[in-house]
Amino acid sequence: MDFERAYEEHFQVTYRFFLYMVGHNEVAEDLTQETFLRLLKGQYRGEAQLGTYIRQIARHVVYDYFRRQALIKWLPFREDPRHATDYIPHEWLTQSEERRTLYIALQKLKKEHREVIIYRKIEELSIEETAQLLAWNQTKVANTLRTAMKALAKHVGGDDDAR
Amino acid sequence: MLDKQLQELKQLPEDKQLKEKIYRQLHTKKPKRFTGLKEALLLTIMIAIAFFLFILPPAQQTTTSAGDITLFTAFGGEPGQFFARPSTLYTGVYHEENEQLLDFFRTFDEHMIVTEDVKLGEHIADIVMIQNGKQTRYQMSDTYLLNVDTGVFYQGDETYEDAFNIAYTPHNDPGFAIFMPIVVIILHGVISNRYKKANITFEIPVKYNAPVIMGFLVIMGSSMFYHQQIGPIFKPLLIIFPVAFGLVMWKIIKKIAPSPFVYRMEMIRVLVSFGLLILLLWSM
Repeated sequence: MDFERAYEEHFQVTYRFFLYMVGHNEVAEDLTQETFLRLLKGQYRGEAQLGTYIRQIARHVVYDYFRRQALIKWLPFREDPRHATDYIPHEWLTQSEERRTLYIALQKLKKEHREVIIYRKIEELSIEETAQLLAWNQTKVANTLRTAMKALAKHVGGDDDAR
Repeated sequence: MLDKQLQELKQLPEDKQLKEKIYRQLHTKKPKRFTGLKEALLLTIMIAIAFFLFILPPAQQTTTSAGDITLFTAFGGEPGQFFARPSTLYTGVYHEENEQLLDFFRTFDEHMIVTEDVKLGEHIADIVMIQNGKQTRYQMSDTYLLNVDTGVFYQGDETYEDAFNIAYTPHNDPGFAIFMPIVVIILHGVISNRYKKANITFEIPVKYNAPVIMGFLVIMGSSMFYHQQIGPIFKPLLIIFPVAFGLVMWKIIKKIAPSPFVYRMEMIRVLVSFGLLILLLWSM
């Protein structure tokens, strides 16, 4: 595997996934680094497409992060300072009110809903690719997406146009 | 409308500086010192140390109960071997609180007379008696009693027979052991059902499963053999094994689980199975 090429091609997709999943620039940066570190140390055998393989690593990394957060929330003295209320989102997202609203609404969704929306609506992966990544069947992907879009529309305050 | 807005989020501009910064850090960052297994081992050792610190204070083991005497018994002894220990932290050792048996040892000299060297009977109970801080080891059999420390045999009256019957009583609770596999079978059924409903087929690959299960069976089998043939095992030491194997299973599941749902289900399976096993070992 040509790591430099893999990094060049998949950095942006990976960083974007984390930014929308965790809603924080610095955390997204750390998790992106962790993902490529695992890729660098791991043994990619070409069993899956490289893009799919990196997305799988990224999923493990982000859910590890959520698990750590779930543990930390039971320890009030270990509150993560990066979740301070004065946090400012990514600059590009603040340049448009529409984008900013959507981004904030995304963060209010359940993790699974957020993830399926990222894959299907932002990354525009096919339903088959999404099902493979999430280890779900296609019906579950479609149903979860429908529910997620309804929830997102509710948070944004507009109509649901999920299909 | 919402679809279009979401598609726009894909246009997030690439941050070249950030990309270069992470790339540089990737190549300068030192490799982690601890691999998964080392981490599991370290955690196990830490848990074991904490466990020892909490459990080991000897006060419980040396203070006398029932006034001036404390008895620890081990069911099913062998001539020439001694299985009782002055602590219930060893497998197969029971803290005896039966007043009749305690009274028998308080008035030992009234019921027992020294006899010539004889052989103990087939049924033996090992006893550790702590009286006024002094520890004495006895083997009670259905015929004679042996003071293991002095090697003197005793013959007793009918009070001795009653005392022996009390001492020679197994204290295991078989109901608990039967209950455990039922819980595990129900748990596996529930998890399989959840997978079926979610249309998920997940099994831990044999290449991960087989070495862990084999290693676990060998260690637990050896421990049981040691317990039966050589002597009691210190329970906190015994419990380290299921804790360590539970941690190894956790690392494996964390590595291969395809979704958080599967991870949760498998962790419940591991926690309940190994938790029950620890309870079983502790009750030995």
